Amino acid sequence: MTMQTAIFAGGCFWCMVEPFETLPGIDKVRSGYTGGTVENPSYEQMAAHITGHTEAVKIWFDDDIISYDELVTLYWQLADPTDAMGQFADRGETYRPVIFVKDEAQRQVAESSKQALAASGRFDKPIVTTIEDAKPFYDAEEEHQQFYKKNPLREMMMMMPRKKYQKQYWSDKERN
Amino acid sequence: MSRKKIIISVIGLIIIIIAGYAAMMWFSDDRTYNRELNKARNAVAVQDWQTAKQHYQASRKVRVSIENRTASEQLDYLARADKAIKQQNWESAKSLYQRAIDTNGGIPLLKKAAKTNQRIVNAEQDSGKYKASVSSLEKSLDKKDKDLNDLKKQMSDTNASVQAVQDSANKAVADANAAADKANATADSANKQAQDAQKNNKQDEHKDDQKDDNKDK
Repeated sequence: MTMQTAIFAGGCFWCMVEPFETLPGIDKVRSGYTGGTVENPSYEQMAAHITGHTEAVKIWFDDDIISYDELVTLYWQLADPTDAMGQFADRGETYRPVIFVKDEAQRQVAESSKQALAASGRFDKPIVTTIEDAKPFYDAEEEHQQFYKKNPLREMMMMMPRKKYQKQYWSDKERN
Repeated sequence: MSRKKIIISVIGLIIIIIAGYAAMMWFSDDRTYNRELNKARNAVAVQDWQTAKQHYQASRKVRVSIENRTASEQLDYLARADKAIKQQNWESAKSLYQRAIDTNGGIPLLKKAAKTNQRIVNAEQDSGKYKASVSSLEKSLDKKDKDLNDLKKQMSDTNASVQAVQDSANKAVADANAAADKANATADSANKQAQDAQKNNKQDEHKDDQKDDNKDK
C-alpha cells in the first residue's frame, strides 16, 4: 500500500468531497484553501477574495487501488474545465479550476489527461483548467468538512448546476 | 482610626466591589456576545440559517449591534427563500435573495450566499423554462397531429357521404328511366290499340260502303 496525495480545486469544496470520498482506495478527503499568500486563511477571508487562495480538496489515496490518472479523469467530470472565472454559481478566482501537482509524475499525468480531453472534442471551448505546483494546503474550518453529510439539502442545492454539467457533457459516463 | 475614616473606607470598599462586579459583568457579557457572534458567523459560513439566527438573537440579548440586527433581517429572507425553493417558487426565491442582497449594512457572507443561491435559482428557472417550452412545443405538435387525423377522418366521412348521395341519385335516375320506359311502353301500347281501333273502324266503314254499294246495285 502506497499512500499518495492529490489536490484539486473545482469550485465550491462542499461539492468536491463526496464524489472522491466514496471511491474505493480513498483514505480521506479534506476541504481547504490553497494557492494564496496568507497563512491559515479563514473562510471569511476567502470569501472576501483578499488572500488569493482557492477552495480545494486534498485527497489521500492508495495508488495500488486507485491511480492518480483515475482521479484526474473523475475531476474533469466534476469541474467545468472551460470556465476560468469560477465554477457554476460560484464566481471569482476563489473558485477557479486548478490541478495542483506535487511532483513531475503527477504533472505529466495531468498534462496528458488535459491534452486528451482537449483532443476528444467533448467541449466546444478551450480547456482552461490550469496545472500548477502544489502550495501549502490549509484545512478549512471543521464545519466545512464532510459537508455533504452535515447539510445534505444545502449540498444538494449547490450540486444542481454541477449535475446539469455532468448531464450535458458526461452523459456517456455512469456517474450521478 | 477615627469614625470618619472608617466610614470613608467602607464606602470606598463598597464602590470598589460594585465597580468590580460591573466590570466582571461587562467582561462576561462581552465574552458571551463574542462567543454567540462567532457561532453565528460559523453557521452563516455553512449556510445554516436557523442556527445562525439563534446565535445572532442570543448575541442581541447581550448587546444590539448593526451586525446582529441586519443579519437577522437577511436570515429571515434567506430562510423564506429556502422554503420558496422547496415549493419550486423560483420568482419568490429570487426576490427574497435580492432583498437579502439589498439589505442595508448586510453581512458580506450572507450577501455572497444570497448571490450564489440566486444564480442557482436562475439556472434552474431557465432550465425549467426550456423544459416547459419543449413540452409546450411537443403538446402543440401532438395537437396538430390530432387535428390532421380528425381532418382526414372528416374527409373520409364526407367522401362516403358524397358517394351515398351519388348512389342515391343514380338509383333515382335509374328508377325514373325505368318509369319512363314503362310509360313509353304503355303509351306505345295505347297508340297501337288506337291504331288498331282506327284500322278496325276504317275496315268497318269500308265494309259498310260495300254493303251500301251492293244495295244500290
